[in-house]
Amino acid sequence: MEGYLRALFKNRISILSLIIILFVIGLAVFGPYFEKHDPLETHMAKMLRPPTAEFPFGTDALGRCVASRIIYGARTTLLAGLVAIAIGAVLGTFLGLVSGFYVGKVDNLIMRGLDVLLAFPYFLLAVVIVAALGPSLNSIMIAIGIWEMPYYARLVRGSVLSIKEKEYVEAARMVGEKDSSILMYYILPNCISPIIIMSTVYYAWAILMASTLSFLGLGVQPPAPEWGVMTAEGREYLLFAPYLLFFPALFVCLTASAFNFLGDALRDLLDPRLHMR
Amino acid sequence: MKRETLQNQEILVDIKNLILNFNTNRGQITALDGIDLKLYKNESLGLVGETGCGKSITALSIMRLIPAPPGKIVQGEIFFDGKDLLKIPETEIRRIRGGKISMIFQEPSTSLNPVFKVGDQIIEAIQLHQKLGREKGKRKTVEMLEKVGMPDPKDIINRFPHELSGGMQQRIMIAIALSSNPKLLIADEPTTALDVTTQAQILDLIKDLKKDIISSMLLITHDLGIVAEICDRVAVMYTGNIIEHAELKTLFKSPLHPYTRGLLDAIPKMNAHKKELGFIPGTLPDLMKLPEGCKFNPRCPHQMEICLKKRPGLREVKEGHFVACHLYSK
Repeated sequence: MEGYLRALFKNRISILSLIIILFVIGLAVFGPYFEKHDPLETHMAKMLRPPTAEFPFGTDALGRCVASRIIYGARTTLLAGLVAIAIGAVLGTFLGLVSGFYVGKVDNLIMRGLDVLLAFPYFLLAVVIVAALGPSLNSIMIAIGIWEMPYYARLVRGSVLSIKEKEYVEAARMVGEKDSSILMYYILPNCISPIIIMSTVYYAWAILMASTLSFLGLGVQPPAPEWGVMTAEGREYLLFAPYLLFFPALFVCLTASAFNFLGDALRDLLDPRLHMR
Repeated sequence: MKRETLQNQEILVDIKNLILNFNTNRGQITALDGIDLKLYKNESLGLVGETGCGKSITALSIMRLIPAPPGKIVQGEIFFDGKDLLKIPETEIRRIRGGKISMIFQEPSTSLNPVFKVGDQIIEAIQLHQKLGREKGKRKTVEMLEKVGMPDPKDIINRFPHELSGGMQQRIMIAIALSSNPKLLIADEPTTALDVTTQAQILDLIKDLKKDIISSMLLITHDLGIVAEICDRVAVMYTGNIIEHAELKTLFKSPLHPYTRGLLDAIPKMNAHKKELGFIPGTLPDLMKLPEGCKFNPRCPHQMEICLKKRPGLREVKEGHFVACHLYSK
């Protein structure tokens, strides 16, 4: 474990990613205690101000503090991503475990079903689900979860196919374990590490997707602060007040990239085939 | 064990005319071609043969763990303690696996779940077959580890499998196997993956345990030396058939089947002055293209005309000494 951490810290990009991630998480968790402006409070006399000492990221068309909206928005965005991948990971892992373990009809049924999901353009799929459920934070979380589910299922199924041939699984049968216990105690714990690694990458996708859907007005509804919503609002004032679009977009971009880079670094680190040097 | 006493012994496992096929892409393979095998209570039976002759498949059939498909038991019965294992429901066979019949494997390093501490794994196995609480289970675990000669068991239970040596891992496997006081222990090449010194230690341990804990044992191996050390009776397998079985001493002193003789000749002897080691010519036949008649005929030094036509059956030549060879048919 220590060796892994040391290797992780050797890589500059992964350190930087880690710092950004910790900063954004810190912002979401502790930021509201330090921010004196309410994200919904309007200052009609101070509309569309460029960044100043009072409003570090400026104010929007209603005179709301952009910095405070970004801080509160971090909570929404990070949480939306988290719930979304939790939905995707739990459903996908379950389906992957079952279909990898019981080859044959069950496997075919599940995997072909998931192939249908994968065959949809992912954006269309999300829009269809949101349209069915009505635009809200909950529906984008569900939509993203369902969209990511097949990826998890394929990943897990692949691991299960190799793990179930291991001798300790056979040994487990020999001591009289049930199928369900074999899945829970022998197979799942041994395929958890690829799930965790992929989750960091999928989390980046989930954040991007949540912001995108909110940008399009399908997710979080104004006036609630959310990075995608803020980007959408900022778009209208691009010519007079570019900072309105710049800051929320920057945060989406930085956070998503950081998780992506971290995921790549973790994968390189834990994949023994890449340790040739 | 004397033959007279054996006959009075109760039969524990009775395999009757077991035929098992595998359907492969290339066609059907008969992995077990009519196995007849009896294992008495309190007896150690050695099952010897080359790779691919069906030793492990026999053991897996007893556990009813032949993957089906591709495997299919075409015919036969396996009686264990009077019950036909091939006919009982899945829930009951699961209670027998690890409860009444336990198994230890060739490769201890891959037979333990890498993500859990060994103590937890032993407790898990104990609790599957005995209603013991966490504390009692732990005590039993320590007790079992002491029995298999593990130094400092209280420390060992908090270790992960990769922190232990091969010999220690095999001791853990033996502890798991014996924790339920099984009526039958199947040891599938228990020392093959270990180095020679560890091998000797594990063999000593099994010999020790045979005195009080292990009641009956089926030892699968290709090493006749191990059989000589541990077993009471030996059965020799060749391409899915038992070709000879007898008491240990009888078989080693007067082997009848040319294949058994070849095997015994191929063991280096300390006191022999022969310069060259004996060997069996040819290789194991392809199970797809088995020779007509006796399956051993292309490699047999005593090949006769009848060997090319008729497959010999297993018959009792001397008392308690069974062999499948035309040389001994009258």
